[in-house]
Amino acid sequence: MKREIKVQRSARESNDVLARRNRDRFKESGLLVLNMISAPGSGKTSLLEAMARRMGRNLGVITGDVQTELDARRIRKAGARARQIETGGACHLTAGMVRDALDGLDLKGMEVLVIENIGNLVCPSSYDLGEDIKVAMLSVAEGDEKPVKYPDLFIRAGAVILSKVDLLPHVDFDLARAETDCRKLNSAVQIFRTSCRMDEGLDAWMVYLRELRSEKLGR
Amino acid sequence: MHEFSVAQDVVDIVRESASGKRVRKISLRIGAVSGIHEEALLFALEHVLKESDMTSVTVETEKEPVSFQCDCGRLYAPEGLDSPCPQCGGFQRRVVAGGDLTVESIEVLE
Repeated sequence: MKREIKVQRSARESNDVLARRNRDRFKESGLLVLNMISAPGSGKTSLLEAMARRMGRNLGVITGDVQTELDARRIRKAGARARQIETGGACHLTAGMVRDALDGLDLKGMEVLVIENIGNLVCPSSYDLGEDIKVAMLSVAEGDEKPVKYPDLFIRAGAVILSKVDLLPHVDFDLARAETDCRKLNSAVQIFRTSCRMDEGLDAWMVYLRELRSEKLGR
Repeated sequence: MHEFSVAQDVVDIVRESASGKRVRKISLRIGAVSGIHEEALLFALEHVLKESDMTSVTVETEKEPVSFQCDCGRLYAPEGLDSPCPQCGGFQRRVVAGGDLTVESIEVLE
């Protein structure tokens, strides 16, 4: 005899349980946590290096890449703590991978932890890692239609970084259009224009992170 | 590929819910902004089900549209993802439905 069983369970529930645990742990440690999502080559690692030069060991980075320790090494050299997750072929980080990476990272005295997700604008956006906000990064060399093409990410991002703005004279990127499109998907989004090469926009970004952290700690 | 790990999560939930009974049908609800590609998921499920010794299982899918909750309080289903709130015209909202993949129900043989 056939019988129907109501299930109504999310396929992501096992991830979400671990994400909640990560979030509790981050809160206990007084850490502001960013889940940074972008396409490969948007300049995530350069931004993290610039942050590391300003924050030193108060910055921690978990970086996900298919292979190699290259990014973690670059970030450590710039002064921050960093841990690489080699993901094999996975296209997004999960809360479990982040939990495992935390075991190899000393959180004491750390203020901001950036989880550098795998270069991909699609699936990383739908996995909660326990972060405070998702940060979408888009370089002006990629084209201004990205927010419209990948709305899943941009409706969830608390902040958007438009990177490599020093290239603007050489590319057809309409900053106003990209920003309007981002705000149409989520008007609460904070938008930053940065150039790591010219050291532009980084101070405003650092101020924003400090404010976010104070807000989180209730100070 | 992303959908394979998702398919594994689905099969784990199905197996648990079936508590040893033979599964005939799985009904899934796929959110419009869940990041799931239906065709890829079905392809992956076929393989994961076979590897889990679940054969002759029908998979039924239903699309779940996006719902936003606006800061003004209004709950609405937008025409497009860039359509504003019909009440206040604003864009400050969060996704309350359509972001998930749900195992709705299963049919088992007793």
